[in-house]
Formats: sequence, C-alpha cells, structure tokens
Amino acid sequence: MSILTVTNLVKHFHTRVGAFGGKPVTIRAVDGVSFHVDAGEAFGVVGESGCGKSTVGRAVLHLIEPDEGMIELDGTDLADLRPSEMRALRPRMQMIFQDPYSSLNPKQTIGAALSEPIRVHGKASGDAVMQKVKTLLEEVGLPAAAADRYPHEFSGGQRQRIAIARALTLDPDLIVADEAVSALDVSIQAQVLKLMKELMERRGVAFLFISHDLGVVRTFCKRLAVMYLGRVVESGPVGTVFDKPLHPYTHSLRAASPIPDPSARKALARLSGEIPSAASPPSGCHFHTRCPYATELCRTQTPKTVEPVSGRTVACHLHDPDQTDAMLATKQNAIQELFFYD
Amino acid sequence: MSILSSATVTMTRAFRRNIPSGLGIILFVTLCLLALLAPIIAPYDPIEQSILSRMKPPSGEHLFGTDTFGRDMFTRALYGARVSLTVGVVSVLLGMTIGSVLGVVAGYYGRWVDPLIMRAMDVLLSFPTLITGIIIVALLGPSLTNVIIAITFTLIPKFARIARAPTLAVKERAYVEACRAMGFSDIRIIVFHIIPNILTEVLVMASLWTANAIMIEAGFAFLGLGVRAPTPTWGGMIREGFEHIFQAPWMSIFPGLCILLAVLSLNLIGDGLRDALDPRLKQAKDMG
Repeated sequence: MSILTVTNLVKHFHTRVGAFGGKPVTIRAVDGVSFHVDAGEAFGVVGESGCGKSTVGRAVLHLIEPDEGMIELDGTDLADLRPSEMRALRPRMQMIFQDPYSSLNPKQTIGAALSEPIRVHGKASGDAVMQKVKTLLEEVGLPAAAADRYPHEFSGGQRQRIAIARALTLDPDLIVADEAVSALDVSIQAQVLKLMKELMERRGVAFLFISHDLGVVRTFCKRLAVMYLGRVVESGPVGTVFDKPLHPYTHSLRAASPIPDPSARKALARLSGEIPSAASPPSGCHFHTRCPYATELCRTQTPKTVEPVSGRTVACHLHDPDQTDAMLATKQNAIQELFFYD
Repeated sequence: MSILSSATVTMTRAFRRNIPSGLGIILFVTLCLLALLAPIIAPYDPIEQSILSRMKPPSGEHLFGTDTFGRDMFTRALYGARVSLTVGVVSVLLGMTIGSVLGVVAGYYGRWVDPLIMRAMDVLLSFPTLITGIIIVALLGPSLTNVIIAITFTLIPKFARIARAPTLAVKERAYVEACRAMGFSDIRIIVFHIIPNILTEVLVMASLWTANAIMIEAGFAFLGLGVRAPTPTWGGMIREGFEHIFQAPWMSIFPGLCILLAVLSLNLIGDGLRDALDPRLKQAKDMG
C-alpha cells in the first residue's frame, strides 16, 4: 500500500573547515531515517532548520546519492537501478521547491517549461502536448494564455502554481514538496495548500511534505515524522502527535508554536539553547543537550525507536519498555503528561 | 533556436535604449558591408602596382592616398577590412564555442573534470598572446588560417573562465534540480537550461574580445607574422607606412583609423550589452 518506503537512510557530507585546506569535517545531515508514505496520502516531515529534512527529500528523489539505507518506490529499490532505468522511473516522483523565483528557467516560456518533460518522456506528441499544457494550467488555476509568457511576468504564488503544474506534467505518484509554501504570503499559502489538497484528492498523488511550519503540516498532512539533527524522533498521525506528543522534543515544539486560544495552558517545557551542529552531534540521544528530562543514560546511549501504540513511533529512553534505569523511572513518574498512549 | 532568439531579445532591448551602442552597431555593420562589397566599391585593384602614382597624398582620385608601390590606400583598406574582420569574428566564434563548452562542462560536472580542464586552461593562459602567435606561426607558417588558430588558442582559456563562473551559479538554481528530477539528460540540461542563462555574459565578452582579436591580428601583421604580402591587412599597411611616416603619414594614419573604428564600434556594442545585463540599470531604464 505504501508508495514510498525509506529504511535507515544515511547521508553524510564531507567538507573542510578552516584556512589552508582546513581539517576534514563530516556533516551528519541524515543519520538513519526510516518512514513510509502511503499511496495518495500527505506525509509531513517537520523539524528545525538544519535537521536534515531537505536532505531526506533530495535523497528520496536521488538528486543526491544516499550513503546507506534503502529507498523503495512502489517496491522498487532505487539503489539497484541503472542510470537509464532511474531516468525512466523519475517521472513517477517529482519535486516542488521552496523558492518559486529560482525554480523556473527565466529564459523559457511557461508553455516550453511544461511541454519539455511531456515531450522528453513521450507522454504526448504533436498538438496533444500543448493541449495537455493548457489543461494543466487550468487545473492549477491559471489561464491557458499563460503558456506564452515568461516566469518574470508572474507573482510568487502564480509561479508556485506553475511549478506544481510542471510537477504534474508527468503524472507522478509522489510529489516531494520541500517547504513549498514557506516563501509565500499567508493568504497565498492557503490558496496553494488548497490547490495541492484538491490535486491530491482528484489525482491520488501522494505528498512528502517537508516543512518547518507545524500549522501548515497539521492542515495538510495525515501523518508526520518529527526530525531532530538527522534522526526521526517521533512519528504518527498528525492529530495525536500534536495533541499528545510522546517525545520531549515534539512536546517543546508544540509548546513553541502559538495556540489561538488565550486560555490555553502554559507550555510545559520551552526549549533553550541552539540546535547543536550536525558536524559534531551530541553523543547518545542527540536531544539530550536541550532535553529537560535527560539522564546519564541519554548522554551515553542512543535510544531505540519503539512503537508504544500501533502507528506511532518514538525514539526516547523514557518510552522504551526494556529500559530499567532507576533515574529514568523517577523521571517517568514525574512527567506522566508525556505518556498518553491512545 | 530558442537560445538564439532569447539572446536576440536581450540584445535588441539593449540597443533600443542605448544610443552609443546603437551607433556601434551601425558602424560595425557598415564596416562589414564595406568589407563584403570591397570588389564592387573599390576603385582600383588592391595588389596591382603603379610606380607613376607612388606615395600620393589623399586627393579626390585617391581618397586615402597611395603607398610606396602606387597602390590605392582606400582600396587596400577595404580589402584589409576583410582580413581583419574575418580574423576577429572567426577566431572569436571558434574561441567562444570551444572555450565556453569547456568552461560549462568544467563548471557543470565539477569533481575531477573541473580542475582537469581549468588547469589546462591556466597553462594556455600563461603563454603571452604574442609568444603563442610566434610559436604557432613558426610551427605552421604565416597564413590567415594560422593567425586565426593562434588567436583562437589565446581566446579559448579566457572564454572557458568567463563561461565557468556563471555556470557554477546557474547549476545550483532550483530549476536545474527540477530538470534532473524530471529525468532530463545532462546534455539537455546544459544545452537548454544552462547555456541560455549564461549566454549574455559570454556575448558581452565576445564583442569586446572581437575588438581585441582585431588588434592582435594587426599586431601580428605589423610584426610580419600574419597574412603574407601583398595581401592587404590593416596591420601590414601600418608597417609599410611606418618607414615613411614623416614623408607620407597617410600611409599609417588611415589603416590606424580603420582599426580604431572597428575596435570602437565593438567596444560600444559590448558596453551596451553589459548595461543591458546589469539588472539595476535595466530596471531604471524600464521605469524611465
């Protein structure tokens, strides 16, 4: 049923820092990420900047080669494919980018930009190509006459609609939307989100929706994964993850985002400090430097990902039934709030 | 096709609003026409000697005067334009094509391809133009083709550098990533998505370096490295006149003026193109 399955994805970047060549540094952008996206559903990936969520999106599309792990599209392992097979598979997954100003070739008319993929992959020929372009433009709420114009003649929101139309030219099963509405005004955001939701329902296309905006993810996605420093700390259905977070990080994220209710309960735990560098992530649980409940165990041992309730995962020692650490037990008693399993 | 048309749009936009560069274009087109129509326009034969009318000053009969062999300087200047403009345009076209392709490939593929190509370009660049010219002419002999080859060689590394820099910027844009996500081949991405977006930068330098190439050719001819006598070239004519600069200054001045006009026209065109490229200037002009 799942269109995309990512298992234990790892991507490290090697770079050098400092003068005269510098010393080599490994950026652990993605450090063992697993999740799956069902056909026709919107799956959110949230996290702070630098947590590796965009790298996940690019690795899924094989725009960057993953170091380890498996990415399966509809049961096909992408790593096994030869370049020609990969190119033939590419139409099934497309991408929408954050910046609508750099995602369209300024020297190409909209018609040329939309017809090029159709022609390259032989999805249509002759007059049928332009017909398809016009249908697509209308589908994303733009006039067919837009085909003759250049990107600079459109606003950011319109360009994002064009980018969506381009992603749809190849009838994909999966669209990776990397911060697709973050650069837009709030009112335009709502329109574009509504459009994507309609397309999802009408065409049955699945979305891997990468965003830092919890509100947007909540309205658009069905399930989500929360990332912190290259790892998934928690995943599950959007409603329960937001309303009853299991991981202390999700808890504080939730507390940090505004609630439109003045009588709402004050946040339990606010995050302090900066997100540590992915070049030298903390030992054990990556979150222990900022976690209010961290114990010695968290500093030394990487927590297992457990599934306390069906459909929800969390990577935290507090939720690990096999952990018998005494310190942990006292913490668990003190913060009952984190243990709503339902 | 679309590459050429978009470049044409940029260029026309540049010249419509810029009077000096419009003049440059008119001047350059006129020079090209004169060179092309030389056999029709020229009043005399460029090579046939006439001892009786040697070293005549400019007059109605001989517009630019005559040289030591009594040949009409105006006629020779017209024919000389053919050599100078051919060398300028052909060597720049060759150098631009080869150099830009190398630069784009280096910038696009990066990794080991980039240092490999660019270090080779650095080696080429380290030879002064004149030395390269002397080496090539010494190896291949003086002729029009060899002068073009020599100048092309000096232009290739320059164009490679000019093309590589914007390629590095353009390849990081999201639309190039989108192309890869759509399964386009590298060649398609380079031809339809990278080159159109760096072409204007390259064309500006092409117009300026055409002027340079014309001067280099004149320099080669002056040193006797270029096209052999009696074929007229502007540089060669200056050299012949140089010996009699005090008795018959017109023999050097007129071919010198021809070089000046050609170089000036190309520089005006290049400046106009560069103005059109500067987004701030463009915006100011669009609003005004």
